[in-house]
Formats: sequence, C-alpha cells, structure tokens
Amino acid sequence: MESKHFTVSEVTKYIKNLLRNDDILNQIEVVGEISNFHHHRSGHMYFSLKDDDSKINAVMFKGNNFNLDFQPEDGQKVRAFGYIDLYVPRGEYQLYVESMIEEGEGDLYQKFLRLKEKLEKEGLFADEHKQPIPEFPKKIGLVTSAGGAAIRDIISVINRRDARVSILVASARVQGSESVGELIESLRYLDNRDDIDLIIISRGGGSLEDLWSFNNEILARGIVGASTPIISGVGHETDFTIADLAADLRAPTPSAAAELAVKDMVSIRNRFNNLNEQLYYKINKKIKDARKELDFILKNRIWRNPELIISDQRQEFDNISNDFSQAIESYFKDKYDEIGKLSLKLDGLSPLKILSRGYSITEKIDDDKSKVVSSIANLEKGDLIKTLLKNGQLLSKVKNIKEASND
Amino acid sequence: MTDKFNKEELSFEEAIDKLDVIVKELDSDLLSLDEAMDRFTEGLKLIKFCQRELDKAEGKLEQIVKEDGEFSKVISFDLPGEENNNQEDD
Repeated sequence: MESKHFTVSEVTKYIKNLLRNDDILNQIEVVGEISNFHHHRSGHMYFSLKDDDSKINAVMFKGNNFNLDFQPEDGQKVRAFGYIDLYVPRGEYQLYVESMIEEGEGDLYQKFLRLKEKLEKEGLFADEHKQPIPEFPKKIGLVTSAGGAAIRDIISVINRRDARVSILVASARVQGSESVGELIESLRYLDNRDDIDLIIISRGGGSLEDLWSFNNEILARGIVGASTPIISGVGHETDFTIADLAADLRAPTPSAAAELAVKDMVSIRNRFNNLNEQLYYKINKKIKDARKELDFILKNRIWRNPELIISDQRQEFDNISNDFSQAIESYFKDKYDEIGKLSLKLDGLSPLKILSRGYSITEKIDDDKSKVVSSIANLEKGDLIKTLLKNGQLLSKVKNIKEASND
Repeated sequence: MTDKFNKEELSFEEAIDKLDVIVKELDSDLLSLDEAMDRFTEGLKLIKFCQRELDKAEGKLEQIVKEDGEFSKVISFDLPGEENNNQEDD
C-alpha cells in the first residue's frame, strides 16, 4: 500500500482546522507578560505573551485595540481574551486578542525592584565598593556575546581611540537560561588573570526580558567582589540593570563603556606634539632674546674706551659742584634781600619817623613823669602837656577840651 | 622633583598638564635665563616620560576559548562581519 503524503499547505490547513474546532482554544483567557510589543503603522498590535518558561505570539487588530484603556508595553502583565488560530503563511499559531486588561505591573519588573531594594539596603551599591578606573589600561577584558553588535561597537571604539590597548574577549551568552552562569564564569576567569587592568561587561539593547540575566544577584555579587575594576554597558541609555548598579562605573551603552574605558589618544597625541614643539621654540626664543640683549650691551663704546666712564663722571661732578655753588649763592642773596626789606619796614614803624611826617606825640606832665595822651579822657582843663615834634618840644597848658563830634 | 617621574607618582595626564604649565611659563618675561633653562630641562624629562607611554606597541585582540569545558586557550579574535548581524540576540 502506498503511503499517503501531504503538501506543507495541506498539513498546515489540517492543523488550522484542529485548532479552530477545539472548544478550549476557541474562546480562551491567557495571563502573561507582554514582550516585543510593536504597534504597527496599520494600527494592529503585535507582541508576545510570556511567563518564565514559555512564550506565545499574539496579535490584536486595530478594530479590537482602538478602545483599550491602557497603553500596552513590554514587561506589563495582562489578561488577554481571544482565540488561538494558525497563520498559514508562516505556519505559526498565535493568540488573536479580542480584548485585554492589565494585571498590575509585570512580574519581572517587580522582581527587579525587590532585588534592587534588597541589595541597596545591604550596601552592595555603596561608593565604598567602587574602585577607581585606571587611566591607561593596557589590557581590557571583555565579557559579552562574541557574535553581538555590542562587541563590534566596543572593539572599534577602543581601536580608534587608542590602538595600544589589548583586548581579551571571554565570550558569554547574554540572554537565556545559560547566560547568567556564563557571564559569571567569564567575569571570574578574567578577574583571576593578573594581566587584566579593566573589565567591560556589556550587552546591546533589548526588552526587560532580554536584559534579565543582568538583573541577577549572584552576578551582582560577582561584580562587586571582583578585584579588577569593572565598567558596565548594558542596553540603551534608559536601561538600568542590577549589574549596572553593582559595577564600578556604569556606561549608558556598549560604545559609551569603551569611551569611558579608553582615552582618546588622537587628541592627547596632538596636544603632546604641540607642547613638545612649543617647549623647544620657547627656549630658543628665550636664548635668542638674551643674546640680543647681550649684543646690545657689548656694542656700547664704554667697552672700547673705559676711560669714558671716568671722564663722564668727572663732568658730572663738575656739573654738580657748579649747581651747588650757584645754589648757595642764590640762597644767601635771597636772605640778604629779605633782611633789607625787613629793616625798611622796621624803620617805617619807628615813632621818630612818624614825627618827621608832621605827626606829634602829646604827653601829660605829672610829677616829673610823662604819660602819653591817647584820649581826651586822660586830661583835664589846666593840665600841663608836652608835645613832641620832630625837632623839639612844646610845653602847654590845656585851655579847653572838646570831644570830637561824631557826624 | 625628579623622583616624581616615577610612573606610580606622576600620571600621563599630569605630565602633559605640567608640560603645558612650563611652556606657558617660558612665554612670560618673568623668568631669568637660568630659571628658563631649569624649566626646559624639566620639560625634557616630561617629554621623555610621555613619549615612552605613547611609543608603546599596538595592542592585541584575542579571545579566550574553552577546551574540555575550561577557559584555557588564547586565540586571535576577528571582529564578526556584517553578515553575522542577525546573531545578535535582541
């Protein structure tokens, strides 16, 4: 009897029928965590629902998802209602979601927060555990997937910035059940070598599930306990993993980790070459300037006729002594003139000088004593007075006293 | 001063910064020729120190692989080409 054979399409359609006619799969309620969520331009939503052990692809058409009361996103735990059917072109079964509700925050995220809080409380992420990153690591150990995009980024950045740096790759899977063990093993191996100055542990971007290996307690303790400084570069800018918190330095991306690990020698080399050139240029200029100054001094005629110094000084001495005698002379002349002026002034003040100009002095004769009369109050009628004139004296008797009238 | 040129005590960046300071000092008129020569000699030492760092040979790119389940063999590592793009598991 000839065995019956089927085409691929026939098998697929047969299975499709089985699924469609199954009472349970026809109308089903599935609880899981959203991952790889993608809202297509067409309006349909494509994603997977997963738990710790398995995963099912799901689609929610525009007509069903337009009245969702939340924005689905990776890591979110949901309860989806719909049916299981087979998508013939790919031969894949999937969950056709007709409605969906939130089941609270995703389990994984909750686990992450719990672990973070626990290790934080313990002080595992404290600054005292952070080691300084070496300025010029000679050899860098790299823990990541040997086939990934992260390794390409890291190696090319390091080579571009400083080709002197050696790299030793200890490959490890960066997701899946074997991943944590491999990451720890590679890390431990590199840390135990004595020629590794710095370790980079890294992985490209992905969902929370994809990065889950980096949220492991044992790995975190391995990172903190390592004696080699460690830079982490896991996922994208916004991804924070436990490994990032445990590392001595966290970089936002794999290539940023390489940049933090290795200085850009291109610019440092330029700066050095420039300084090197300047040092010689500056000292040459200094010497040239000093020589110029010396030449200038040597050109002075003093060096050819030293006696010029003496004759110059003699001349200067003569000048000074001339100045001095002139100064003395004019000093005494000034004084002399001053004395002449003062004696003239003194002369003018003498009473005899006043008499010569026609004024007179009147004195009251009183018991042989004479007293100068300066007011009519000093005299009475009948008093004897003496008037002194420039060439003699008058003796008189007061006949009358008349007060000056003030008009 | 000279004992500071030990690698442990003076970092490369510090050496470059010091060199920068010396070049600036040589530019000013405040230094006597004697002082300038001293600075220059110090600068030469720094240059020698930096040059030694810069002249180091190109590094190696290697991978450690397992033999009988143990990391034991160092082989040279080639960057995965563009065709390996899809192996990124994200």
